[in-house]
Amino acid sequence: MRNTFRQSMAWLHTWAGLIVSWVLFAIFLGGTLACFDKELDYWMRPALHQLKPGPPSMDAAAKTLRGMAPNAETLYLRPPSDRDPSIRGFAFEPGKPYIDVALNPRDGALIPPTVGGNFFFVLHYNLQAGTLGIYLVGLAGMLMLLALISGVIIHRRVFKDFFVFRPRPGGQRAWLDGHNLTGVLGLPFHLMIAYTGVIIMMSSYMTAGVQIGYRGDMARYYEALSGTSHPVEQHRPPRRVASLDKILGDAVQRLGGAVEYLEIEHIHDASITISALSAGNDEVAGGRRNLIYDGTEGSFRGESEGPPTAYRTYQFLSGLHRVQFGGAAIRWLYFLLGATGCVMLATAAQVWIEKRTRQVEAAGLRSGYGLVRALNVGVIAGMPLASVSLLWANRLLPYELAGRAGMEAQSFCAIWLLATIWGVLRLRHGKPWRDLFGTTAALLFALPLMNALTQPHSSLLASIAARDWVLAGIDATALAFGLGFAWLAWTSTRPRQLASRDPRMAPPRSSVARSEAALPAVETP
Amino acid sequence: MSETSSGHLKRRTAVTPIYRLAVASRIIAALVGGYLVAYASAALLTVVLPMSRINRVVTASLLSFVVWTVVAIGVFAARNAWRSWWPLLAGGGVMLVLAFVFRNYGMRP
Repeated sequence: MRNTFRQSMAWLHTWAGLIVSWVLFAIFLGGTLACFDKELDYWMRPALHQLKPGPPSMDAAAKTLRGMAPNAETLYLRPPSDRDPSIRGFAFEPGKPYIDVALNPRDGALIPPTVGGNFFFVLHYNLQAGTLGIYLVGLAGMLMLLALISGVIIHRRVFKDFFVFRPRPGGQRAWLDGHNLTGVLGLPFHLMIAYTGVIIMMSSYMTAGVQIGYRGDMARYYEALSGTSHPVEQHRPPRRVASLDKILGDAVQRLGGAVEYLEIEHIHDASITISALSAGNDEVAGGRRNLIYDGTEGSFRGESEGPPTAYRTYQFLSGLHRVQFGGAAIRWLYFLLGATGCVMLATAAQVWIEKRTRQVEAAGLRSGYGLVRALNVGVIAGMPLASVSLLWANRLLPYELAGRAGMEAQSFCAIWLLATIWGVLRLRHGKPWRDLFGTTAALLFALPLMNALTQPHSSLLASIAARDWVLAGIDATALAFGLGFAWLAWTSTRPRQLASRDPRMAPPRSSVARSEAALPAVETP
Repeated sequence: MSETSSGHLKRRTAVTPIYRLAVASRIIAALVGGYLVAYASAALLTVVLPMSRINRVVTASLLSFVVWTVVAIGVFAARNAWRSWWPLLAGGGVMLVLAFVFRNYGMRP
């Protein structure tokens, strides 16, 4: 079909990349923002900004959570940490939506709900589309892995191309150089992210091992993974429930470090068991130790044997992806590399679309790529706008409003949809890139101001004075990115449109013929 | 379609339906065929790997995605559609049959 191995790989690169570059862009931007999901959670919950110092009350939090999910068998409580001062509660009742709440660490009161930074995390792993979304994201990750490996193969001169950036001649050359630059810069990171991203959800879509090894019994498989066994039910209610605060204190002492979760199993049964999972923030693979307590007496029963070796390998790989280790510096590194990934994908889509639009125009055909180009504007420029709009919606929607978390999510979707419509309407007779980048820049610049007006205690100045660097960091980052988007808006006001308007860039007719091969770097003179 | 015996890249003047079909065939082979081979390899590795059961299952699943990647590259590098398809079906089929035949051995602790 293709004559040389490298040509066939160029072919694979174009198609594997194209099919998913929009989906991957959304996944990448979501994942990049989710590097700071807990920090955004905190920013989006002003009720947490004025906490008085003091010890957390896990018992009060458990009481609130039990009231919200009276029929749940298992409750999870995450104690406050450096990154999140709230107590987080998780519970699942059969036939009801999953409960995920933030609770006041002092009295266990419910903090007004918000989708939080978690919105970007969910967008990242299932596109907010449930199980189907998990499969879609897995497939997109697999295609990314293929695009990366074929991309390396077609790039004979990876090192040289890294130093090539030719923005002047305009158009496709600059986009392609930008794609190569960001692609090569982030390559080791992107390879790692693609593979670890695919395997994180492997038990959802690669079930052959469980089918053979456990006859498809997922429950037994998970039990073997965790290295713990579930308590045997005794079918009578517990006399009482031990104090979670005492258990937490004891666990922190025994572990010599933080506790990630308290798990309360069989809460309505005399077999009630409470386990404390170590946070293990100093290890890539996360916590491995699991302390088990009697749920009625609160006495220490022992430590589970921990995960098996291969699962520890899996935890290391997924830990590399989930970046819960190493503190803020590593998260910033992931954030910046994720941002270069977004640029790589945005420029990839641009290269593909501009090239074909030009060919179609040069061939004198009626362009079929108008809609594709407009949708490209909507996806690429619309999503950052929708993301910053989510932060605006968080502050502008009244905190007492029922169902406000859902309304935040709706405002994100509505803005993204409007941006796409704007792209369709304005592409021919306007500059939708400039409009959307400019609006994003304006919203980012004005974010600290709006924050100061709606939540004076959480403003940039107030948080600097209080040395609350997480809060101040988000406002400051918004300002920095505002500058970036203003620059993008400014560059997209310059005329750099289609080949037909710029005779230098019109390709000779014969080169149209070679179109589909799309051999980016191979053909570079 | 631009299968040439002379060995040089033949110029196309338009994207023909046959070319589109060829692309679609490769993509389906790489994704669906690749998944089948990866799935079969995970099943067979769960039987043959020399370690405890839970470790076999997890290791086999981790490796299956490497298998998938290699298969997809092979699919696009193959000279024609037939050559990209038959090794997938044959290799995947043989591994699945072997894993099924020895499935009880795969459940050893």
